Amino acid sequence: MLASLGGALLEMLHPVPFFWVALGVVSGIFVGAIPGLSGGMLIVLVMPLTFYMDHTLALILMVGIYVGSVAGGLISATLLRMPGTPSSVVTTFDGYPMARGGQPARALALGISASLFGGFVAGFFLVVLSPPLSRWATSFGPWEYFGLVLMALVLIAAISQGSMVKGLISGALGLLAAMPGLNASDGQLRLTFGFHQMDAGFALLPVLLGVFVVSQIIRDAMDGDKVPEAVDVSRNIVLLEAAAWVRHAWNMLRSALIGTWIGILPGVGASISSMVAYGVARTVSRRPDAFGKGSEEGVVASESANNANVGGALIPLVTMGIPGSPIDAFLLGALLLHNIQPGPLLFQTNGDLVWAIIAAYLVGNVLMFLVMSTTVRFTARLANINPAVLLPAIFVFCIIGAYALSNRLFDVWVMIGFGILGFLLQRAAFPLGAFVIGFVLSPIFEAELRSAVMSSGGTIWELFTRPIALTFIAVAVLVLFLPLLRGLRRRPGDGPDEAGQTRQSKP
Amino acid sequence: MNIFRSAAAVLAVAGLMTTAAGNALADYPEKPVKIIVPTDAGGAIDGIARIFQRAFEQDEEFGATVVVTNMPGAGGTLATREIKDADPDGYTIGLWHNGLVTSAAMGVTDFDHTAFDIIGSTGFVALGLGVNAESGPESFEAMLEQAQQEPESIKVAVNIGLPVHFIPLMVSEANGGNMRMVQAGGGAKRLSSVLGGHTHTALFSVQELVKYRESGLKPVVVFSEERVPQLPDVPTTREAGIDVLATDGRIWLAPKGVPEDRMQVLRAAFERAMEQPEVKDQLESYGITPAFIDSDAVTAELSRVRDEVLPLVEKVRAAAN
Repeated sequence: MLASLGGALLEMLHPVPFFWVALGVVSGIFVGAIPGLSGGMLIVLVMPLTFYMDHTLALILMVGIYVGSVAGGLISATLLRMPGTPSSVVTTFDGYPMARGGQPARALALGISASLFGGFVAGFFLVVLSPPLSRWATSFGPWEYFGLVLMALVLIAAISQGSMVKGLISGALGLLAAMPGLNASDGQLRLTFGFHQMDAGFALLPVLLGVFVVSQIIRDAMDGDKVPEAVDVSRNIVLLEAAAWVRHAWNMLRSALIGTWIGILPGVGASISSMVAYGVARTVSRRPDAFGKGSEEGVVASESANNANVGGALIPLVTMGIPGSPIDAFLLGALLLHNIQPGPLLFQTNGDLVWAIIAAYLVGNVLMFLVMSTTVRFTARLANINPAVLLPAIFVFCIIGAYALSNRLFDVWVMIGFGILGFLLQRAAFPLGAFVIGFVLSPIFEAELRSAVMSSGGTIWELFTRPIALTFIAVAVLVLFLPLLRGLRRRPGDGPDEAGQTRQSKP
Repeated sequence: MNIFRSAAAVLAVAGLMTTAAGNALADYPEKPVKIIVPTDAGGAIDGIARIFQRAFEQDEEFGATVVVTNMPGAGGTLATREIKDADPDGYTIGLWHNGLVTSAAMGVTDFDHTAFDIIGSTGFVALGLGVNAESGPESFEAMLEQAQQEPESIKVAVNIGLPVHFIPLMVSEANGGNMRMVQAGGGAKRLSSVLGGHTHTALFSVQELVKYRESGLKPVVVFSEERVPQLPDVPTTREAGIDVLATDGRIWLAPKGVPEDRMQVLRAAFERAMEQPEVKDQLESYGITPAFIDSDAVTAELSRVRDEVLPLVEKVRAAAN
C-alpha cells in the first residue's frame, strides 16, 4: 500500500501529471474565488474536453479542481461575505467580520492553513481506509448496494439543505429524469414516446451541464451587473505563525475528523461538514459568544471541515463507486465516460488510477496551500470580475460539451431544457444537489434492486438474511422518520436549528 | 487557325469529359468518409474503428480523410439508426457487433442486419465462460451437472437482451433450462459479480478471460469449434456435449442502397488494410483473428444468430419480471 502510494506520489511529480494537477488546483482556486462560479461547474465543463485525454490525467485534473475550488471559496467568503463556493458559506460567518475588523490577512491565513490541515487528515484516512474498505465492498452484492444507495438517497434529501420535503421532491425529480430510455434491467425501451432520440434517455453530461451551469448562467444574467467591493488584503503573502497552529491544532483536528466522516457518508456535500464542524466548535468553545463576530475558531472549523470533506467523499467513490457528494457524482460520471467501471474492483482493475487520484488529492492540497498563501492578493481581485463577462464564453463551452458527447444536437436541447428546470428549482429553493444525486443514483438503485430480486428468484425475502443490507436500510428509515418523530415531540413554532437556517441555493 | 483552335478546344473538352466519366468511379471517395461508432471513445469497438481510420488514411489508393464519430447510447441503437438513415453515398459507414440482431429481437429497434448494406466483417471475437477461480465450479461439466441436479442453483451474470445474455441462455436451454440469469450489466459489472461470489459464471471475450485471470477469473469453456490458441487448456462447448457455438462479429455497415462500385472500393480498402502487418498485430491485440469476411458470410452468420435468438426472447423478457 505504502509502495503504491509512494509510487503514485512520485509519478505525480513528473512534469505532465504535475502540470495537470497544478492546472486543476489553480483554476479551481480561481473559480472558487469568483462568486457565481463553482468547482462543480468547472468540472462539468472540462469533462468533454477530457474525452481524448488519458483517463488518469483527466481525473487528476478534476481532483485538482475539486481541491482548489473548495479552498478558493474562502477568499470571497472572507473578503466579500459572498461564498465563492457553497461549501464556504459558513466561513462568511466569522471570516468577513474578521476582515472588516482589520484582520483580512489573518482570517485568510487561518482559513488556508486549516484547509491544508483538513485536507491532510482526510488524505490520511483516504489512504488508510480505502484499500480495506474496497476489499470489504467486494463482498457487497446487489442487496447491499440497493441498501447503500437507498441510504444515500435519503441522506442527501434529509441533511442537504433546510427543507427535507424540498430535498425529497428535488431528488424525486432527478429520479424521474433518469427514467426514460433503454432500461438496462429488462432490455426494453421506456417512456420514449416513440421518439428515437429519446432511446438513450437523458445523458448525464447534458443534464449536469444544464442543471448546474446553464441554470447559473440564467440566474447571473438576470441578476444583472453587480460588482462587489472587496476588502483589500494589504499583504502579498499570508502565513500563520507556529503558535497559532498549535493553538488551533485541536480544533483543526476535530473539524477535520467531522469533515472526513461526513464526507464518507454518501451523498452529503462539503457545506454540511462545515456547518456541523462549526456547530461543534461553538459548543465546545470557551468563547461561544465570539462566534459570528469574527471568531478565529469559526473560520478554522469551517475551512478544516470542508476541505476534509473532499477527501472523505472520495473514499466511497473509489471503494464502492458511490458518490460521497454531488461533485463526486461528476467524477463518477467522468469515470464512466472514460469507460472505467467504478466499484470495489477499481483497486484491482485500475489500481494505478485510484492511487493517482489519491496522490493528486494530497499533492493538490500542498499546491493549494502554496498558491493560496502567495497569490491571495491577486486572487482576491478575481472576485471583482463581473460574471457577465464570463457568461457568454461559458455558455459556448456548454454547448460544445453537450454536443461532443454523442455528436447529437438533441443533447444540446436537453441541456438547455434542464438549465431552465434547474433555474426554476433554484428560484423555488429546491436543492439542486439532491436532484443530481437522485438522477445519478436512481438508475443504480433500480438496477441493483431488480438484479437482487432476479438473483433470489423473484422474492425480496432474501434481504432479511443480509445483515449489512438491512443495516443500511435501517439507517435510511431512521433518517427519514427521525425528523417526523422529533417534530411530534416539539411544538410547532420552535424554529429550526442553526444548520437549518443557513440555507443556500447551491449544493 | 480558328478551326484548329476550336477543334483543339473540342478535343480538350471531350478529353476532360472522358476522364471525368472514367473517374466517376475512381473519384469515390472525394470527401471525408465518416465512421459512426456506437460506443464512447476508448472502448474496444472504438479502438478497431480507429485502427482502420489510420490504415485508410495511409492508403494512397483510398486517398480520403476518415472521421470517427462516437455516438454512444441505448445499447448502440442510436448509432445504428443513424447509420441506417444516412445518405447511401458511401460517405457514412459504421461498425457494430452481434447486438445489431439482439436489439431487433428484443424490440428495441425495428430493424436488423437486413436493413443495411453489409460491407463485411473484420473478424470475429472468440467467447467463453469464466468462473470464480476459488469458489466457482470446478469445470464446465461440473457446472452443468450441478444445474441439472439442483435447478436454479447456478447463477449467470448477464446484461439483459444482449448477446452476453442469449449465449449463456442457450447453454442453459441445451442443459435442460436450469440456470438462473441475473442482471449485472457491462463487462466490469459481470466480472465484479462473479469475483464477488454473487453469481457463478458469466460470458467474456477470450481476451477478457486472459486479462482477468490474475484477478481470479477462471476460464472453463470456449464457444468455438476448436480450442483457441490463447487458452489451449480450455475445452470447447462441443467437447462437453453442448452444441452452442458463438462468436462476436466486428461488422461494418453501410446504409442500404450504396452504389455497388463504391461498396467495391470500400471492400478493397478493407482487404488492403488487413494485409498490413501493423493492422494484423493491432487486431490480434483485441483478440481478433484478422481476416476479412465477405458480406454474404456475415449475413448468413447474423441470420443464424437471429434464428437462434428469436425463440428465446420470451424467456429473456420473463426473466426480468
